[in-house]
Amino acid sequence: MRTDDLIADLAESPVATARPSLRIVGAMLGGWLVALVALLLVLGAPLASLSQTGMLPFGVKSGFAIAFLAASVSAAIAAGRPGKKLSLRLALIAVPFLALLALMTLELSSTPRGNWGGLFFGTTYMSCIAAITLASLPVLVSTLWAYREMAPTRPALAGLLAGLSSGAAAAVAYALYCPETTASFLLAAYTPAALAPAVAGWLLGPRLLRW
Amino acid sequence: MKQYDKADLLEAKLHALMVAGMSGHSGAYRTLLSLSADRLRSYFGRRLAGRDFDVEDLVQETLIALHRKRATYEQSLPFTAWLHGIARYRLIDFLRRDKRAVEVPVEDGFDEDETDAFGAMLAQLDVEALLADLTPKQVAAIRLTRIEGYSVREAAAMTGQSEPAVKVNVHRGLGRLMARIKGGDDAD
Repeated sequence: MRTDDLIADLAESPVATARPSLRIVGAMLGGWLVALVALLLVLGAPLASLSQTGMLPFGVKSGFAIAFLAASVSAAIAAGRPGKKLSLRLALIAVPFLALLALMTLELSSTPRGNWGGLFFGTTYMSCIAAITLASLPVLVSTLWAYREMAPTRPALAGLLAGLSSGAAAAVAYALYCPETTASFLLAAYTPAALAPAVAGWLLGPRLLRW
Repeated sequence: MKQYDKADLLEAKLHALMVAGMSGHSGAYRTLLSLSADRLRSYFGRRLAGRDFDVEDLVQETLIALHRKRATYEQSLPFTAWLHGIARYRLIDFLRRDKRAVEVPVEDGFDEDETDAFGAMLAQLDVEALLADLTPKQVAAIRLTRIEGYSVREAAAMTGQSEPAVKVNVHRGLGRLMARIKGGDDAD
């Protein structure tokens, strides 16, 4: 086919009907609801531990998870647009973690060294990691599915960011259940839990997100 | 007053055309595609000097990619940066595929002697009668790559098979032919 003919063909439908970023957000919401229902079925009613922990730890947890989610989704969507600069968005992902780091320093300085283990591991360390990692799965599937509409020029990075977003979404859901109260715990448990789907996305990206 | 250089002017023009195109102006979109094709031709031409067919293939592939992924463009993004991102991705993809095509003889599994012996035998036999024994896909793959001298890529494009499929068909087909010529019996 001659290039001029191809151009004439393509020019017949200039308007793009797809809205890839909306579709990603919609798909993530769908996957997140599935994860939330799964948590409801397994862990029962949400916010049950709020009476023991009080509002503040719940606020810190949710605030952290939501900020983490917003930053990683924004970076993930930007990674699907060719020519878009990523560095600022990638740096923003670190902000909620830096805030936790500051809180952790405060907690450590006001806790005797012998009790530091409790700050980091609480009483629900393993179940927290398992819950967030499992809850991120439906979000990861739906996000990667919707992401194929995008045009990632670095599919591995795009997959990683999609996975990180899924982990963050799962953290938002699990924050409704988490009975822990320290920022140190959030850093020690939520971080590896969110990294698991990120690694999965990083490995899957080059296969699933090529175009 | 700020001095605009040529690149700024071109960007302003392409950006305006893209915005008009995305809001339904077919003529603007067509002009944009033509101008993009020129840009792409020189972009790929500089990197694949002398390979005019590959360059034109890549230009077309990139135009199709641009069209399919046009929803990922947003107006705040410089059009040239977006186009360059797509072109670079297509070029990397092409070079990766191209590398595989160059490696075909190594992966094919026949060593030098075997191939020569096969050629000598082939010359003495009725090629058409032999080929009649193979599946149509194997016949097409062997005929195009080994008799008519097309590359694996070209053969893949002509037959609609994937490149690995062409290689496999050539490999299996030749293996079967060798077995028949040597032993007279079917072997798979």
